[in-house]
Amino acid sequence: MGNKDLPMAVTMMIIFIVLFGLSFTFQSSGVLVTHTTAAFFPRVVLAVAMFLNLILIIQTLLKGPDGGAKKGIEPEAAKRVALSMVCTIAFGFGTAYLGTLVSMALFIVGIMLVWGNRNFKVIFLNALIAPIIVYLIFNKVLLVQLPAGILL
Amino acid sequence: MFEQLLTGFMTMSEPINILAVFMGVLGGMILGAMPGLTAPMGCALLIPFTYSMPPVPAISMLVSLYCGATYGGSISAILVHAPGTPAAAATTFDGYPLAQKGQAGKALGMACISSFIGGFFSVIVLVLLAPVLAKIAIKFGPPEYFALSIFGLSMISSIGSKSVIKNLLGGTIGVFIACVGMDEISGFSRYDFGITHLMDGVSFIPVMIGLFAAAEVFRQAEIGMRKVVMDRKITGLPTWKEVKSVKTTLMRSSLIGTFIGILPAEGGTVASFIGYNEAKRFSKNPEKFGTGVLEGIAGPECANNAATGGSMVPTMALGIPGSGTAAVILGALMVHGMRPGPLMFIQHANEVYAVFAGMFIANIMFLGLGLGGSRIFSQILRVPNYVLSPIILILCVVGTYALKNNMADVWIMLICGIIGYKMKAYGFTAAPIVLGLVLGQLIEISLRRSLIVFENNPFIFFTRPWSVALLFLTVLGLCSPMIRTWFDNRGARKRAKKNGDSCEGTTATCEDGLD
Repeated sequence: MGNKDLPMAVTMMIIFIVLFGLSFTFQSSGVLVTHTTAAFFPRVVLAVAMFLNLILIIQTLLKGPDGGAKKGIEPEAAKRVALSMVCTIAFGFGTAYLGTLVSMALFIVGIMLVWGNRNFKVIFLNALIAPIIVYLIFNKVLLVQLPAGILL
Repeated sequence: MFEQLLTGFMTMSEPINILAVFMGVLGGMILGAMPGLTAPMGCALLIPFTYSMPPVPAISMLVSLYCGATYGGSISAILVHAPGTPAAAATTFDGYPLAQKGQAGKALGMACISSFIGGFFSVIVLVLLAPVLAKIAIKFGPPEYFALSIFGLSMISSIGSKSVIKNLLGGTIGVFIACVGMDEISGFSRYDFGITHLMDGVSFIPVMIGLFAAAEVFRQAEIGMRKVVMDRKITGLPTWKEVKSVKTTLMRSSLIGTFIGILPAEGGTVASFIGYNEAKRFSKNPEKFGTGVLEGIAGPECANNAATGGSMVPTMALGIPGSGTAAVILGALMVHGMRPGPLMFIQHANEVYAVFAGMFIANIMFLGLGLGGSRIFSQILRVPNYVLSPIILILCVVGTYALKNNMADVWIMLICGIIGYKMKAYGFTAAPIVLGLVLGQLIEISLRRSLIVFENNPFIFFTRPWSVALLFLTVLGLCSPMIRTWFDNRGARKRAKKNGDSCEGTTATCEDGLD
């Protein structure tokens, strides 16, 4: 564990504090004014989380700046991950607006290009066959009504 | 019990159930053989396919996938030195060197036979032990259930990443996620942020698919295009004499694996490393370990498959998952209207025993498929990750949507996938979060019911024998990583003293308990 844990632990601590604060906005019944209101358990859990997070922060500070920090990923790899995430989010939106089948085909093309594949024969075949199989299994066999969007 | 098991076998003899088990085993072996695809990921992705199925084939398919994937992990571990699942990591130590000597067939055969023996033994224990445990647990009141679920949660300290604090923090985050939505006791909503969908709470399935499957594909994106080169010829199987020569290792590892599996949250990964270490410790030729000895394959493989049946004991009898995959299966049981726990043995006895029978059949099936088709399964390794990964992400999105025909679940899954990826980068793993999520509701309900029934007396947990015993085990569970480290260090010191060299960690350790 190295110092790269510190910003993460501090961010988590802020989130836990905000969530703890939000628990005071929960409604509570006049009849159930005991320990067991709706806010009781989340507060206990968040208190435990904050305590554990505090230990993590102390551990990180005690380890010092070179406390075994792992090497970060290469910029190229980070770009691939980020673009894969963007493609997946776009696929989610595309499913609702363009339709599942078309979005699946576009998504496969996008991901394979992002990952550096330039074999267009493989891309084309994967983008053609995989969506049709997935669509048929879910729509025709499992009878799931997949979003059709403006296309399909 | 035996009559019910017989009825279970009769139920399983229906073609649809046999087909479900076959598909589960086959899918599991394929999935397990591919590095990067794990058993919980496979189970999470399979759940959407089971929505429209009756409970018996659906759950049988999932447990068969679990059994198949646990064995399947050894295929790539032996052939290309890349364990298909974390549980097969210890198999690489001797499986790969044996394959390098041109005896890949023998290594795969030994892994398959050992997995079968371990798996079959553990299912026998499951059938015998789970109903007994359920009978005891039926007498449990809210305080005992609270102590039991806390005990289950405490075991996450020793799984997942190396850091105990990060494991516990992950589990606590999981419990917190379970708090989102309508409070079951007061009926008031919590942390819904005005989003109607969140008033129902966060479903297990999107979170599991996101954390186990989507996050893993994002991690694969770091590596980019990868194609496994596999040019090893697979010929020959172990002889009967060779199998007999490792019988003591098989018996020992079956017991170890089943016991480790029964412990809440401990799964095949921990079992396989302990199985390997014990095989080495009791071996007449420990110095040959790592050079391709059959004991070194039999020990971990038998133990990791024994953990599959073992982990189903607390899952089915108590509703406390025995491993990450068992947590996913527990979620699937709920999707199919079966609440795991002692009452399940009364309300759904036929289904429960049919699933047990399905596990027996699954073990026999992967023995046949593994021994007969190892050459075919090795070809799966040739499928490049850039073809498979987009399909997995598509299944994540479409499968999550199919849960309630709702895009909101898809967004939850994607958020969990991104968070899961980022958390992995910071040393957190998915298993503790999922276990926390699964146990969260049970912890809250049992704690609050205990406080309501016993008039806010917190000492009630320390006055009932079962509750005290379970809380004692909780403390022991929380201390287990420290105890284990102490024993490891002591063992290393003793060995170093004996060999007269420096104290180096010679004991194999588990880095990732995601099974």
